Amino acid sequence: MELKQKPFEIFSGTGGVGKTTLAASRAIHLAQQGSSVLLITIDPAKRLKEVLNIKDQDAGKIVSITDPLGEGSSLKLDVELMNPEETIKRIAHQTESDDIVNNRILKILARPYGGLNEILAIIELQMNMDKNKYDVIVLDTPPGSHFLDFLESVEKIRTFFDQNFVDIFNYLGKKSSPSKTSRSKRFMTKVVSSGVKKLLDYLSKVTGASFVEEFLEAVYTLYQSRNVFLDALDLQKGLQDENKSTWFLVTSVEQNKLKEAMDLSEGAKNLLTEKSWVILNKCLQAQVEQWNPKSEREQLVKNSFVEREKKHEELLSSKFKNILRFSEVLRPEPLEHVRELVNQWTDYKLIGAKNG
Amino acid sequence: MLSDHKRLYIITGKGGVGKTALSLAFTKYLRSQGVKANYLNFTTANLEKPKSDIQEIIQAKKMGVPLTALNLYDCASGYVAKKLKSQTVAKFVVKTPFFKALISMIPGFNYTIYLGQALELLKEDSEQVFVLDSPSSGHAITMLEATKNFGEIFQAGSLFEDTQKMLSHIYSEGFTQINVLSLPILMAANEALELQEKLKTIAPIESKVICNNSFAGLEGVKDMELPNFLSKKLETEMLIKKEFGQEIESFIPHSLQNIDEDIVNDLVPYMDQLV
Repeated sequence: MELKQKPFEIFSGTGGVGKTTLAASRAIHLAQQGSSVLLITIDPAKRLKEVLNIKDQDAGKIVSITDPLGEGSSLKLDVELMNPEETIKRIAHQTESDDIVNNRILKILARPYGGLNEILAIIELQMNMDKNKYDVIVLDTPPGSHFLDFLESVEKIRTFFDQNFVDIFNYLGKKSSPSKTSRSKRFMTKVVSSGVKKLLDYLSKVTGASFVEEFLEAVYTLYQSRNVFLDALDLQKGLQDENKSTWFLVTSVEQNKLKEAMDLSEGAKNLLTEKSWVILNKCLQAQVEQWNPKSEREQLVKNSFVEREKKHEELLSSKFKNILRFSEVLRPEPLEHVRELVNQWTDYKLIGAKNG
Repeated sequence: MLSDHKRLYIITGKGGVGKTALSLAFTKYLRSQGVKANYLNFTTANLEKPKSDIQEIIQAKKMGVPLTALNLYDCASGYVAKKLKSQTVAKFVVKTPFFKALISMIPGFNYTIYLGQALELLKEDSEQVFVLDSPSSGHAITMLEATKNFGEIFQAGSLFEDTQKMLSHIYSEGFTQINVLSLPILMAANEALELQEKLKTIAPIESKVICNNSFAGLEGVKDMELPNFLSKKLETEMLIKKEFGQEIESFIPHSLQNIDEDIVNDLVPYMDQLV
């Protein structure tokens, strides 16, 4: 049974389950099969760089890696560690306007930990998709609930540009004034009786008037680039199309991971359908079975492992139809780790598969 | 009665290191030492869900761990109400789509609001101590940087002054401690130490790196004839102790339990290492 590749392959799940290394190994495996692959991580902790030996200064750029496993092959793979600032520069380039790069507030918020990561990631994904350069884009997402931020950011973009703001944007859009500060001031005086003006008045009492002006500038700047943001909304449709994307929900047999995986699947119900794949990572079944305990204490420890894994399998099988099992890899070096996982992708074991 | 302790403990680390279990165990431990500690979790104060539906709250309640649940809009409207001297206006402001979009597009804004409220509560009750089960790695940095960024964003005015006050409070001596959790795996240890370094550049706060899920610490493990997969785990741990012995202060033993409540109780006796 083939685990067919799709244009988007998304690895989600809580932290510490091996998501990053699984995503990287999947990308390498697909490249080995002859596909052109882009691997993107939007995880602020940037763990992927350790795995593939990518440096911090490469963040935000697409880096072509040859022979990632050091086997002397000509295997190629493109990798990108997302950097929000670079994405903003690309948006500026697309909208042929520097405003978005120069806006002070947006600059601060676009810093790697500034918090606009998830929204810019959607745009980054969309931009790469538009290039039509890759057979597959493999996405490694931020762990846990922050991944939900990723899913929800599409909604946030929609909300931000919703009807309530259209008045402001339409008004600002019609302005043809050259000076930036006068634009905002004129807006403030013209919008006489609206809830928005009231709101901005209140806001300026709390934050200071100069902030409000700069904030309006930031809003206007975003508005100028709205097409880029709104195009990204199409992405969500693609992500929900089973022909266009595969979702891998990764969990592991370690203690607290199962509950987190269940919580995550609850939260992302719309996207993680029954056709999603669950990966149960770090399985020890094979190794544990071979263990012959010689004391009561050893038996206790063995039972603890066996019980844990059984519990995971039972709970997962009750919720999901497609479960992939990956064995624990005991190599300390990240690259060795990835290599073993690539082998497992080539040769995976399916448990409880009930459909094709 | 434990008297030498901080007012705010921030438990952080990459996703999945056991922050929640350890935070709950630590809260229990502090209480057992006569400290008025409460478990605090910002992610629980979800915008849409009412307080009672949040998983961590149910879990903490079930385990009898005292907790503080903060609702984002209550915190925000409380602050705005103080500034505008009107609760009615504040409620209007925080319910507008504009404000909601602001909060949801800029995650750091949330944390600043929560932290502000948490600090208010600590000011009101000098006995109170919070154990904050904070967001994973990168986002914990977001939390502290957000507070710094908002100072930069607002520059002048009362909001700026308030964020500055918040920061100096958090940075005051003996007030805060950040406990960075790690696992006995090379990649995890590297990441925890990287996080600690990064946090040091953002904030002058005391921090400790603590390794969770240690097998070497398991009772009787040294006498056992171990199967390959376990002896490899021990080997890696020894490697980590050798390389990072200076920087990683404590190793908390793995719990053999499989039920959340039992795991937390197993951890309690070792929590003195987090103080």
